[in-house]
Amino acid sequence: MSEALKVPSAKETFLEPLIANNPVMIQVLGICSSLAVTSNMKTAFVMGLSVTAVTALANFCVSLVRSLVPGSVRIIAQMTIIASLVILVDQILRAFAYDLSKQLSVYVGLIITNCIVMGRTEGFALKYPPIPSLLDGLGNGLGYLLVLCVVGSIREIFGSGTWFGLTVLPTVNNGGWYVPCGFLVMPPCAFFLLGSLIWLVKTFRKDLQEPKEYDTHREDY
Amino acid sequence: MSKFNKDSVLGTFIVIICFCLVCSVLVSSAVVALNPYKAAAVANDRQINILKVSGFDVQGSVADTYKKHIEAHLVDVQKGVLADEGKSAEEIDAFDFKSLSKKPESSIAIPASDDFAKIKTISKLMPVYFSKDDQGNVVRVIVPFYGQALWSTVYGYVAVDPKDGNTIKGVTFYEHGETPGLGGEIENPRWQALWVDKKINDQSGAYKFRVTKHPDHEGAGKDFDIDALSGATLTSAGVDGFSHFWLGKAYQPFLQNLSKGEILK
Amino acid sequence: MEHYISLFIKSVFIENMALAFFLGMCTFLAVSKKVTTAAGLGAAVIMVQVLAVPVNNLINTYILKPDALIPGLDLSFLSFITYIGVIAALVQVLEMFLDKYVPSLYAALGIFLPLITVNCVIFAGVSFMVQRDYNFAESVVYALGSGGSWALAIVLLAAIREKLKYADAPAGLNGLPLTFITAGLMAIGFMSFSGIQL
Repeated sequence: MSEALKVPSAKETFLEPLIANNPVMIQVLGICSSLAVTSNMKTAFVMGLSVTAVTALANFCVSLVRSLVPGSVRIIAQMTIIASLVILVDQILRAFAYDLSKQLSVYVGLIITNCIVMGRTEGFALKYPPIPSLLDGLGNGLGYLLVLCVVGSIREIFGSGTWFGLTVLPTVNNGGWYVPCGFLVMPPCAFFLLGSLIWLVKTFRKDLQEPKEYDTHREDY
Repeated sequence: MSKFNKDSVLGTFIVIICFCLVCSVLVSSAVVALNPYKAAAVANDRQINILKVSGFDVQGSVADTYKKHIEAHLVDVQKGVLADEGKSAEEIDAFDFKSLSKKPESSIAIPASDDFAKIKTISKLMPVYFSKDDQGNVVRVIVPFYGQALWSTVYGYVAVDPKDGNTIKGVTFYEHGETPGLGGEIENPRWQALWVDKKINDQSGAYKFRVTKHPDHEGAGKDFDIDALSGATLTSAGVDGFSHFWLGKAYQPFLQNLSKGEILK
Repeated sequence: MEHYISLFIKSVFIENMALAFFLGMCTFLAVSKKVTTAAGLGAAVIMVQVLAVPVNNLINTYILKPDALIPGLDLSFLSFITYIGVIAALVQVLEMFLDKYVPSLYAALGIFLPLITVNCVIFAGVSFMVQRDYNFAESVVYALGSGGSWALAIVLLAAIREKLKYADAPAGLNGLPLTFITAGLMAIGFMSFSGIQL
């Protein structure tokens, strides 16, 4: 039956999730880690890259074996693939970016339960061939990376006066003039930023606005 | 040959077993292949941090500088004497006090009244690092210290002047989970610079060093007080607590022997 | 005893899974529209957490830790895959058990049980337990506390949202963004607990 299914074009699969169907802002997936690791750009960026790699490869692998896996155990099979990939990423980080892996601590492991990965393998890779799946994974991962970078940039520049650890606004602590907004590096601030981002998107995308008297169409997760 | 039915019970088992085999082989081989790199990364990280407080800049590679200037030993915490016997140089250099402090046979329990660091047990042996100049004279003695702060256990190294065993020459914190920008400012070199030349004990040998919100910069406390970090009361209190424990209690026998000249002959 | 009580208080309030560590956010935001469903999901999370954390603690101590199984063998790199496998298996077993012996509870929890496998609260609870080297008794207390903390947070949020649906917010802010901001305010509230010294 998968032959009859229309395979979306490469451009569509790759570009859709970047903005128009962003996994974090529109589909509301993978929120946990996007809140916790965005207090500075370095961790946000590495986390985004890790998730992108895992999503893309997991999509590719799941799609390769999609005709072999029995329906009854497909979730476990996907979990196995994802977990193996996450272990790989974790080990690579520990070997080549030890400093960052210390900062990310348990959040690398949490990629396993990041709903973006699971959502894409379940929702896309099980139906389509490997190459579009790979692109779809890449697109979704990069969409996630994009949001992380936006939130991370705002929090780091205004919260600590730096960007990727480079000084942008010299802070008073370091002899400069900028009094950093300590509130921005506090974790709850990520909620406000992400909430405002979604608000912004929804203001321009009227089709996404939720109708007043709580209808349940966002139960799509 | 009968057609393979992937949805039968047997088929499911076969597929899953093959699956697990492939995945485990992949993961295991990757782990084995990456192991040397991981070990090197851990060692490199430790060496960089020790060199930060050693007073020597990295020239050429980190490993070379480390080899030239740093000499690792073990110290018996209770007796305050060196205890290198029966250990190879590599073992001493990468001494894992963290995991040894959890094992009953290699650790000492701290009485609750003394446990300012909130760590309950410490390893009987701790590594110390002697930082030597080009002539081989020991110019700083570097000891690890750690303890509970607001969110996490903070790990660091502190360098002490070997002549009196009482003057702090440098400090660095290499592992913590404090809020970036607030408690995380313990990483700030400007704050760490405040530690330099502060004294641990006063003339009479009473512990005086403190990290406090109300430092005395002019009077009697000017040799002992460090400004607490603004907006990070509990992180500062944690650092103050574990400094008190390690410098004022745990390492006291060693530091006293050091000042008497019994360690460096 | 005192140690366990302080660990429990700490894991519920100071280290609240949802509001201090932001874990289990997807479900936290999506299934918090009604107090009753939120409470059901919370109960399910506590149940799975109390099973999964101690079981993984045993597996970690006796199999995965360096030198635990055979001296010189370090299996800790298999940790993630083992934990998630154990969690998935436990959820399945719990589901079958409830279906057979406590059908009323099974019906009440409904679709939430299988969802819990991918809820990061459970996985993070296990990871934190390993990272902090809890012993068996501590892990039971921690599981109860961390599961409870998440349940508490989701019930509170649901209660607020039940009221919020009558609020007249700008069209774009309605629903999800408003929930985000509410959760952020709650998180700030919970930060005040971090001043408690235990």
